[in-house]
Amino acid sequence: MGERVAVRPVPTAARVLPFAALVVSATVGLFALVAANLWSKAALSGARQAEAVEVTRAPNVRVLSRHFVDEPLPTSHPSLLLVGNSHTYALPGLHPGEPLRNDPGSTLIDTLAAELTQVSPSRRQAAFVRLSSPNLLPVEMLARVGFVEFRGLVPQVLVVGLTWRNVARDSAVRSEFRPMFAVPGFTAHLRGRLEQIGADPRVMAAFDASIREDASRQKDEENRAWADRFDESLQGTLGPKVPLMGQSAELRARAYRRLSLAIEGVFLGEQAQTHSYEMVPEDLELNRACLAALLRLARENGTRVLLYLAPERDDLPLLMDAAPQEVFNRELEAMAIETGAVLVDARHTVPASYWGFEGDTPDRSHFTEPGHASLAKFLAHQEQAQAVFSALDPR
Amino acid sequence: MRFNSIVFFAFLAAVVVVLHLLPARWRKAWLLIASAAFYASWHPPYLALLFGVATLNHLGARWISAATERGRRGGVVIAANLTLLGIFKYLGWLESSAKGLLSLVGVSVELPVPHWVLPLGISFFLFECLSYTIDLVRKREKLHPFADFLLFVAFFPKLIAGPILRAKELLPQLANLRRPTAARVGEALWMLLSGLFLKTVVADGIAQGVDAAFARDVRTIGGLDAWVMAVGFGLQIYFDFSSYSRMAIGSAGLCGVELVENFNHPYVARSPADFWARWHMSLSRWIRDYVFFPMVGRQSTLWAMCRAALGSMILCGVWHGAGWTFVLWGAWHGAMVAGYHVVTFRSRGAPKAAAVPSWWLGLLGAAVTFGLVMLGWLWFRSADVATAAHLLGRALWPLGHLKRVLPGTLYLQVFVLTVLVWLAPAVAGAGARVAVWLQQVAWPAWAISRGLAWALLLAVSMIYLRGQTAFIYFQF
Repeated sequence: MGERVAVRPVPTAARVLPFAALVVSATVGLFALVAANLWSKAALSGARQAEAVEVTRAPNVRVLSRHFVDEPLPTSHPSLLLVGNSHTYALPGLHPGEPLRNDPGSTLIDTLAAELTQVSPSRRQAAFVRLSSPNLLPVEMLARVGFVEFRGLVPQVLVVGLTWRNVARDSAVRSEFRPMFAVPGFTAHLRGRLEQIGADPRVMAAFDASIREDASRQKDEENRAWADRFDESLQGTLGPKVPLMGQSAELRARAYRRLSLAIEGVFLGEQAQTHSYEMVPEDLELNRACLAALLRLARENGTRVLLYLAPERDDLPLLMDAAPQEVFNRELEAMAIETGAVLVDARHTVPASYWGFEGDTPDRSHFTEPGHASLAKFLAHQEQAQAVFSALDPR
Repeated sequence: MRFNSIVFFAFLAAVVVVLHLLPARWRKAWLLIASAAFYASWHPPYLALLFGVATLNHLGARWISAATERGRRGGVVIAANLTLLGIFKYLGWLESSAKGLLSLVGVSVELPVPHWVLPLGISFFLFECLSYTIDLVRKREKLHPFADFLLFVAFFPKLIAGPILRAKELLPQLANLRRPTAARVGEALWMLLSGLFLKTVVADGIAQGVDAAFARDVRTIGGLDAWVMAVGFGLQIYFDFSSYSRMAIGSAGLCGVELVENFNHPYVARSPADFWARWHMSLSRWIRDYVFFPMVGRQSTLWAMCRAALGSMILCGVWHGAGWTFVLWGAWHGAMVAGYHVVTFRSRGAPKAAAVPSWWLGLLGAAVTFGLVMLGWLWFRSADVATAAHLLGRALWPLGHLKRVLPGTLYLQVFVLTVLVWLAPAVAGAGARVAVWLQQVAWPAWAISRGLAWALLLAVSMIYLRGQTAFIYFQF
């Protein structure tokens, strides 16, 4: 792959007409490149029109970006903060072959706000805030909640959706969360708070690893050549004119989806729906410590916490061994009791007909609008959760 | 200025067009200006270092040439070069090692050592200067004019990460710079675009999974995971570095200069010695000629060969990076090569045993070499010795750690790329034969398909040109 192959001298036409061959190749290449740009522009503009949705959201509901660092926070009092992975906001395709759909303002935070306001209309004064990310891990949830507190928002109610796959398999803070640690004062604040609540030292060690990586990234950024900075601005300028570059992320995502589905079909075939993942005990341990710290931090702040086990699709086999999950759930319950939080099991609240598709495969993580409504109704009307939500009532 | 950037392609186009429009007598000056601009685009103050090194070595060369007995003067110039390399590359490592040793006896000191940014390409251009000095001492090289020598050191396509050249390979070409033929331009464009594709799509593609795996808590890694990490990084560094070399050869080719090859399907090597004849060939050739052969001496006894293999490969490891993991990586390869000499020493020159077919031995040798080379990458890539040893332990006893924590997509990428790497020699050979046949029977069809291939490589590379990823070998 990495080297040239010796080509024997060519005795015929290509030697006679090498220049003509070069001109033909260059011309064909140039036309093909222009055609590829035009094709990608047309293909993506059609897709963008299809994906565009008009978002209508109640004025007291706020959605913070997954890259949240310096967006303004709601000032209304009281407030509810919802954190979880993409099950809290993404909508699946309705038919096989359809991609995920954008949230038009009818997902969990909206339906939960509507349900809770219906129970007690005075809660209209409260702010309902969602701060979710794909595959949000407990270690990242703790960092997010700590950062929101650092920025001055201490919610009265914290609703945390937990997905076993995210709790049991990964515990490294991803790069998109690292900009938080670059905000002056936040690291010291988090370290101080974690010491105050007696958090497991491994929790801060996990953040320290992330902080070191970010420091190294910043050093690289400082040492970046001016040519690289110029190149970045050049890419920015050319991007809108050259779709192959400017819309490369969308093109890559499409290629990845098609390729991964094709490969999955070849290698797993019928088993694609049943192959299972193993849990990673070390990741689970750290995530357990992070959840314990999150609950203690909330107790320190007087925040009431509702933990729920996120809905699972009943009509497909489980992707992971159920036994360790049950052990963990019992531990989580003990942690909740110790810190005054409430744990509810919402795994079976979304019926099979409310799930959809991601591409050609049945979606295991995201459910349709009625599914969100169903989950919100379940959470809002849980008897043991009433004490939690009452913190949203005016005093 | 990274090769995988728009700025570089604009720069290269400008350099090539102006170069071939200029009268012959101005071309070397233009290449020197372009090379200086290329190096300055990273960290302008280090341009002074590059020219300072070249000036120092040229003055040293004049001093050596003036003497009848050149050895002592040559030793002084070599020592000066090694001191420079030590100051810029190894001072920090020596400091931290000294502090570690002192802390063992309860002494804690802060050593006043400056922490400079490592000048890009310093290991490469200093090794070229060293080879020039040694060849001059051995009277295998003559004194060249200063401007020519400066261009030999600074020639931009090979300046940052090789191939490591000798003066006699480059200077005669620079003295007689001509416009490349149309066939040569086509070949250079193919090298340039295929290198860009291999970097942006293949090397950077697998880098994401490999980097994430090495960022994990090492205690979580299973036995098969460790193998996937080792092979994954082996593939990443191969595609990353070989793609750079392809782009360097392509860029030089457009300027009318032919550079030496740096890779020849290293992962199908049948023995450790064969691997080093195929991997980073310009460096292994340097080490063979200037370290291994002098260490072996005239009597090539088994002991001398093993000692030289170990010594030269440790030096190779240290050349790559200032750290104990690189020393151990070098020692790992040294032990492999020495072991190979032990196994084969007695049978050299003897007729081959008929009992075992040679293809079977070749296959066995290739499999063992592949496995050992890949395990060696764990030393190279891990952050510290403890991490590398832990991963190596997991890989060597995978049955004790059967869990899998790395994503299936990484397993799949590693599997597919490994198969491609093994098939590549046959596919490349067949591809070349088809191209030659097509040129002969229907050159327009060949020209059209070549143009489409260029467009495909460039279009896919543009889509995958994400962020600004440097080549791994830039850090050496």
